[in-house]
Amino acid sequence: MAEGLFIRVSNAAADTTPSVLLDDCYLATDGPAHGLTRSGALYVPGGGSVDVAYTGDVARSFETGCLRGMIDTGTLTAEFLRGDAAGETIAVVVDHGTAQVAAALGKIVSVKIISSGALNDPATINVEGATAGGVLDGNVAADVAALDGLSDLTLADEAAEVAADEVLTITLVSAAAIQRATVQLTFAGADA
Amino acid sequence: MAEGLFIRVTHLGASDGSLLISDVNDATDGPIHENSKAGAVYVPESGTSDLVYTADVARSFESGVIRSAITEGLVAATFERGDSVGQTLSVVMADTDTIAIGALGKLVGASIVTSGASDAAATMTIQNSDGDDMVTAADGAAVTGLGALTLSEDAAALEADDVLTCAWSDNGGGQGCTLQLTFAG
Repeated sequence: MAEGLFIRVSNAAADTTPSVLLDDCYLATDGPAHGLTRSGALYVPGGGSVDVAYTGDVARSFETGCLRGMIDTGTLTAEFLRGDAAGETIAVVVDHGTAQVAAALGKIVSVKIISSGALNDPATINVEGATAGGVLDGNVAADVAALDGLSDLTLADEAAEVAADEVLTITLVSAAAIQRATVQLTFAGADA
Repeated sequence: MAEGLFIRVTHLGASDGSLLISDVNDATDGPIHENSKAGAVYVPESGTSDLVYTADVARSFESGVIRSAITEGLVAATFERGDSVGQTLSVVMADTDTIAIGALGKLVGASIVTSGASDAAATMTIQNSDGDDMVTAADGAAVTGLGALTLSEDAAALEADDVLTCAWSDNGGGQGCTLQLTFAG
């Protein structure tokens, strides 16, 4: 699991094939000055992937270096991803009685609901993935009765299983009082 | 104030004195020429340090000294976006709509986008939970296309998770708009 920005490098070749060396990336924590002996220590195993922090040498390799060359020749694929601490947030306004949908940008790391006044009592909010199912605690709708303001909802384990492009359905039940809320979903790169 | 990406490290008070982040260099040209500055980053007791998201900081945050200090409960660290790399939320609003948004940090940009001309008396009000105005309401008037809203000084004091109440009125004209708010750390 990564926290900040990272590049996921994947090798689609069979797992019996040799690993691919990225000879311009360093794994040493003190960079090229003291890490020369570790130059080339970054390998991508056949049939596997590695997550590498988005550091200077990795960024250069991804743009114009060894990694880009491997991508261009079809040897490797790579994608830029956000770790759990660096997620990307979208906002969806949802009204009682009208479900809204959104496409996931990756796994879900946070769901917040915000209302501009008190919701009805009772009131519930639910977020369901087309594949993952309910992503809120207990895999059921969360109780947001009389919520006035912001609530950070507890996630179920299934939230981490949501994949990019999975369709999410968001449903608010608040039949009286304030009948509208904003749901803010934060996504990060799915675990490898 | 940071412009790009940075890590904000906060001393949690579980230990006395400043905390040394021993695997981070604050020199701009890295360890080759700045060995003497290795270990020059401290997090003061009861304070925070903002560290530019460079290679050594990224590695420390992922699996180095910062990560260890987080695990041991000595510091908290958050990934933040500076003013130049803010994150934008957009919501579609019909005439007379009021919606709530949870702030992602301080407000550094606000604009409305319309598909037709808004009324000359149209208003967009954005208030924090204390009722402070984040923008000048009159800026919503007579916008066709993109209209940047003028931020108040209070916008820079906004904090993450503060509730913003946004109200759009086209003065009965029926014009909707897309509100785009940009936040930074």
